[in-house]
Order: sequence, then C-alpha cells, then structure tokens
Amino acid sequence: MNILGIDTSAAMGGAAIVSEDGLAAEYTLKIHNGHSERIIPAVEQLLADSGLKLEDMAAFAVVTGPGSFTGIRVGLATIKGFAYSLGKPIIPVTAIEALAWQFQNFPHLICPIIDARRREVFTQLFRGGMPVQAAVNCKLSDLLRDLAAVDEPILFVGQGALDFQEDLAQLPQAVFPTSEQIGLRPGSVAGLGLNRLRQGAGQTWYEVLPFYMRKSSAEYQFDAVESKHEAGE
Amino acid sequence: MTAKPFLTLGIETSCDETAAAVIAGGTRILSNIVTSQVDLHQRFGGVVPEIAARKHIEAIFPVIDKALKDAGAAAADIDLIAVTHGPGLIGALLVGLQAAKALAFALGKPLIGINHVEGHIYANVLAHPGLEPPFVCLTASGGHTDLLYVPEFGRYELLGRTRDDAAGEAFDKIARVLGLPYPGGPQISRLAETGDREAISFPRGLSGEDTFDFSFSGLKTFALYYINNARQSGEEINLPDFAASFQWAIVDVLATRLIRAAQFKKTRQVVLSGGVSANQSLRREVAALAEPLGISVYFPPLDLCTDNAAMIASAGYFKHQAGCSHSWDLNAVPNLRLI
Repeated sequence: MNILGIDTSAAMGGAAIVSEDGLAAEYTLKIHNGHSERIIPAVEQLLADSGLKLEDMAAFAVVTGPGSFTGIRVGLATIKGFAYSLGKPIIPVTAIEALAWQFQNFPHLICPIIDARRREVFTQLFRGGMPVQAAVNCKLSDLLRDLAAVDEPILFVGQGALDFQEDLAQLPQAVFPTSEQIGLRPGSVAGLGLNRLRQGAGQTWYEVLPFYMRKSSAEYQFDAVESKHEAGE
Repeated sequence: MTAKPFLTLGIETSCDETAAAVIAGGTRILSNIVTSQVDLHQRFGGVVPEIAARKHIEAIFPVIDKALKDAGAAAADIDLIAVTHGPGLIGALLVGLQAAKALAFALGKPLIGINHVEGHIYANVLAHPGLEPPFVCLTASGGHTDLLYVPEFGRYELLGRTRDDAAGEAFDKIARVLGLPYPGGPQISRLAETGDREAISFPRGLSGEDTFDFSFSGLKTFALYYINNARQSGEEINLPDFAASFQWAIVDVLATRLIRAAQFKKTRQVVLSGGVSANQSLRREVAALAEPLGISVYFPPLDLCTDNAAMIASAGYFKHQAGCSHSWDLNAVPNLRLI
C-alpha cells in the first residue's frame, strides 16, 4: 500500500510517497513565489524515480491548514484533482497534527507553531502525538504567558517555531530541534495519512475542506463595522 | 460508426465566477456551468479577492463534475484541458489552474493555459462558427478595455486600451456611490432605459487626442462631483437621466473608437466581447454606426458575454490545433498580457 502526501501550506513544502516499509521518496523545497509551479513537477519526479504510478497510490494525503491561505488551496486543488481523476480517497491532515505526529516520540509536551501573521500563532499542545487541548489562534505573548507555568520540557516545532525562536527561547522549558529538522516534512504528512488510512479514514473529493482557522480580513472588518452598528456606535 | 469528437474541458476562475465547460471540436458546447459569487461580494460592494478564492476552492470540483456529467462525458473521455492562467486575481486564478494541472497530470492529457481576454474573443467564435479574421475586437469588462486588431487567430495587434479604469469598473464604481447593488453595470442600464441621455453632458476622455486609448477616470470624477454637489445642495438626482447620460458617455466613446479602428484597419468586421458587450445600448450604437459603412457586427449571446469556461475551452482547442501546449510548471500571471 502506497500513499502520496503533499504539503504546500508553508514556504517549506513538497511531496512524499510512503509505503508499508516506510518512506519511499521525498521532495522538500523552500519556495519564494508559491508552490503552484513546483508541486506537480515534484510529484512527477517522485513517481519516476520510485518507479511508481499515480494509480499505485491507495490514497492521497494533504495538509488542509493552517498556513498560507493560497498555499492551502493549491494543495487541496492538486490532491482533489488526483482523487477525482482516479477515484481514490483523500486523507486530510492539519499541519499542527502532522507536526505532532512527526515528533511523537518526544516524551514531554510538543507544541507546533504556525505563524498566523501580526505576531499571532496557530498552535496546540500534544503529548505522545495525542492532543491535550484544542487548536487555537492566539497572540504569541499570550502563548508565552500560558506556558510559563508548565513544569516540564516543551518541544517547539514547525517553521513558526524557527521564526519565533528568540521569543520562545525565553521560556526555560523550551527545547528546539535543529533548524533543518524543525519544519514539517512531506514524509510525515504521507506517514500520518497511511496510519489513518489503515484505521479506515478517508474522504471523497467533495468532502474535503480547507482548515483556515481564520476568516478573511475583509470579513473581520465588515463584522467589526456591523457589530459597532448593532451596539449603536 | 462516427469517430468520437475531440472533447475539451475548459476551466475559468479568474474573478468571481467558478466555471467549467465541455465542448466538442472548437465550437459545439456540450455543457457550460457557471456559478456566480455575486451574492457573497455584494455586501462589500465589490469582489474581495480572499473571499473569491475561498469560494472557488469549494465550488471548483462540483462545477467540473457537473460540466462533465451534463456533457455525458467521463473524466477519461476528455482530450484536452484548457484553463485561464491570467489576467485576474492571483488567488482565484491559482485554484482553477491547479485543479486543471492536477486533472491533466492524473488523466495523462495535454494542458493549455489561456489568456482570459483571448478567451472572451472566442465567445464570438462559439456563437458565430463562421467568423474568420481579420476583424477589430473591443473587449470591455470590469477588468479590461482593450481594442485589438486580429489579423488571424492567435495573432493580436493592440490598437488601444484604457489608461486608467476599465469601462465596467466605471459603471461599478458609480453604481456603488449611488447605492446600487454590485455589479453596477446592469443596474445603471436598467435605470437608463427611461432616462434622457442628453440630460447631463458628461466628459469624453481623450476626445481631443488622436488615439485608440480610453480613459474613464475624468468621467468618474465628474460624476462623483455631480452626485456630491447635488447631495450638498439637497437636490434630488434624477436617477434615470443620470444613468442614461453616464452610460451614453461610455457607450459613445467605445462605439465611436471601435468603428474608427475598423476604418483605420480597413476591415468590414467588428467584434464585441466581455461583460460590457451585454449592454444593449452599446450593441445598438455600434450597429447604428456600422450599418451605413457596410461593417458587420458580431457579439456573443448574453450567457457568453460574461465570464464562462466554454470560451476558454474554444480558445484552447484552436491553440492546441495550432500545436500549443503547456508544461506542469505553468503559473498564474495576474497581469498577463495578450501582446
């Protein structure tokens, strides 16, 4: 059983094929102008080099967010196109849970960090790959305040953890992987996907939705004006 | 037994319409699905790019699925996939482009990227299968006002284009100030039906210059002053007269320059395309100017004036016949130029 996983939700992204006996092929690239140009050529390369065909995949895993809104849609459109054409299931995973999967053997708290702009983050705490709270969109300062009381090591992971390493390192409990290992690997997306496929997970092309975790800024502005009107301001 | 016709799947998501279509050969429409997001953007008074992109990713595969089903075709029956890759909103374009690339890659079919403005020209080829260049084409919409000479399919000579606002944009902006719902063009046209187009003398941009370019910013400013002055002095604006005069200022310039361009290029055919070509007043005026000169006028039926994917499929078919195709690294280009 093979599964193709892709992640285009952050600057670092790519594609990987995972088989029963582990990683078969992986392509990771830090892009500067979006993943649309590179992701299908990357998949084509992986298939050619591993001697597999797209038809050989039992399912397609994709990161549905949170992350770059445009990147999320590029990933979904790609995977939906594959799944629609070949009649195969999709395994949606979030960037947060795929990071927790990637570092599940860390024996203490795992804290994936996704940059949400304006010094905010998307985050969630895990232990042994299992969530200990719901995913949240919060200010970085609020996260630092909430974690100050934790009395065990916290492993900060994800590209956001690298971007905010200076701030996070103020916490004495903070632990970081090396900068080459800290980001989400496409292999982890495919690996988590395969694990879920074995447990019977899988959605059709029309069921899978983006996981933005945030409204568009136009909606925020509009809602703010509306609530002012409602408050009689 | 007849040979299976060559089927092209067209995909278009450059602005606020999610569209897919299947055509047989270059001109026979088997399905043409367009889902508009107008309702979603109305409360903002215009298209919000992020909201448009979000709606596209929800709608694109259901729309493609419906286009295939209505055409009675399976995905594997498709011979070519054509998709708009610019100009337009980057986030919106990327959804359709990426869907098209993934489908073409997975199905092992050729991919071709189409310029949206070029697509609008092919709306006329769909509607008038006998239409052959040379002709002069005016593409006017919310995003474009281009005057092109087409000596043969696939070759374009730019005669003029807007230096500021697009014609449709001018309609939308003034409609918004008047408190009319988005999109403003059809609203202003409806009001104009009972108005006097000579009631207010709006300026014609670049009327003194020897050019085929357009300018609508002066007209817009004049209209805004007119509205503000009336509001400040407590006068009520006669909306039908205002709408008729404003529309006439745009139609007059578009029609006059289009016919003058046809005379300049010594062609007896003119073609209208883009959303503004749905404007009945523009159609009447162009026809009135063309008739005494023996010039034939072509415009698409209403459902092919606005954004659709059948026109993208048609453009794709003819470009593919001419030996063109694109690779998997094709990107979306928000300001893609035809020439």
